[in-house]
Amino acid sequence: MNPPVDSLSGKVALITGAGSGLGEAAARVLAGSGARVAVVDRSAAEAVRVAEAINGNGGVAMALTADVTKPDELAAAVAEVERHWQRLDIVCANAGINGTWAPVDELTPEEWDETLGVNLKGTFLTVRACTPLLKRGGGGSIIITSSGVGSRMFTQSGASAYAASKAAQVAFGHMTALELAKHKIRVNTICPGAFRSNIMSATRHRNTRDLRLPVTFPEGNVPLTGGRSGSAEQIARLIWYLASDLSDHISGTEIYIDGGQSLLMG
Amino acid sequence: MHPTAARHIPADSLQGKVALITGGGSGMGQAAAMLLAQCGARVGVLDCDSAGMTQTVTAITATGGQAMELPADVSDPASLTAALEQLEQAWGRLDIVFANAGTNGLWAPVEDIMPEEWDLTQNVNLRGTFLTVRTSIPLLKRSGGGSVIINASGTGTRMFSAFGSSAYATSKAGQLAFGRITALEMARHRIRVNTICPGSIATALNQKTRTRNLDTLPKSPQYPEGSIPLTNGQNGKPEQVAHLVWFLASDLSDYITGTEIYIDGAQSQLMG
Repeated sequence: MNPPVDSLSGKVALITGAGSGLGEAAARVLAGSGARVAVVDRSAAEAVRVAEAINGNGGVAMALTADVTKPDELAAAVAEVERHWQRLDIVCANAGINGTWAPVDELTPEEWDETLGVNLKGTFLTVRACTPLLKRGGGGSIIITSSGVGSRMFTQSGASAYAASKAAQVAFGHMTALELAKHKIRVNTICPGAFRSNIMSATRHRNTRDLRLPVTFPEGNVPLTGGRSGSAEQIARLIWYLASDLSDHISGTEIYIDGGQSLLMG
Repeated sequence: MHPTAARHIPADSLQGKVALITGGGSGMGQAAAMLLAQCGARVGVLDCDSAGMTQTVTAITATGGQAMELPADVSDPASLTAALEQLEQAWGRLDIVFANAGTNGLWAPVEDIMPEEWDLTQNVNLRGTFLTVRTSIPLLKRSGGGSVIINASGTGTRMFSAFGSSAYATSKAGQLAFGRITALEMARHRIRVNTICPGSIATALNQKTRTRNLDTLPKSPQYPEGSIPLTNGQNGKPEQVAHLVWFLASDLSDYITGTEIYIDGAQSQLMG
């Protein structure tokens, strides 16, 4: 089942990290539901690819190149959205990296900064850049992509920087939910478990092989599916729900979407 | 259908499915029963209050939906078993369970709550949830899986400043733990279990709260601009909760199990 085609008509969405993975799936689902979508990615080629696919499919999308660690680029992207569409209703602060996974005493300060810079500061900068336009439009919905890692799961040894950035996003989501409530801006945080995307293969591993304490999962580590990871489209449907007016009383919650994985894995 | 729901929810999105809703005679249960029926589900409306139950079923059937009265008390296993048998006999399957029946019970200082009064609250809210899920599992399994939605609360999970609510809050915290455990335990049968945590919702439950000696407790915090930041203090509506129940009942949430979802207009971010 897909969300109804006109359920988000009239709304404008901005999605960071929309050139691949979950961001791309969210862009396609929101556009398929009638929203106009700003596809923001630091890779111009990927942003264009996704936007063209949406436009070729009868949707409305615009490719915008921006690095979420750069306030100027984000400001320019939001200005483009306002110039074209005069409003903003939905923000998916989704851009993220796995970064370097390594023993904590071998992780360099620069590697820590890189992960926290994209995942945490990038979330802050995205919300910061979008909030004025959301306010002028009378409200909106912000969806932060965090993770089960760092909030419920801690066994991904070597991922201390990643986990810390993801836990901090949850706290940031709680704080901004309260702060922006009077402007009718809702803020919610999704915590996916494993799903099929290329972020895992983009992880730089260093000396993590012997770091993990041994655990085996005889029936796989995703209980609902017998071990099979979910798809980005399944998670994008949750983003649709949080973006839509159906969830108009929901703000300040985390939602785990992982087929029960985070309850099985510590 | 509520205008927001009409725009977002396909009218056939639950076609072919069967739902059981405890406490379906009023409030959130009634709103959920009506919405799920409007989406094509056949709805077993279970309640210990026959007037409310009849009202829900009449409203559903009057608009062309299918619903059945299931008179039962969630604290009485035999009556639940009978209700499930009646439901299976009529419709042969079960896909959605909204374990919603609950009581505010008595709000009083801990030392003034009689053991029997404590038990009453736990029996309906926590044991009633256990019994509802326990009784439903065999039919859910035979139907190839399903979605269980437990109605807990922000009180006892995120909010603890409502003085006098120890029995209620404890039952709600217990439901949350129960939801997580059963999510894991039932996952291999493709039964999803999620827990919703509403804040203040405009229902009659609030008027039914019994209180005793609350004036001997510290004064609760005051919220001059209201305690629900998103709505300037207005309570949430049962229909808004029903929308969430629909999402969790539908296949759109088919990778979601074992989570809590707070639905409170950020109330639990403001109230401790």
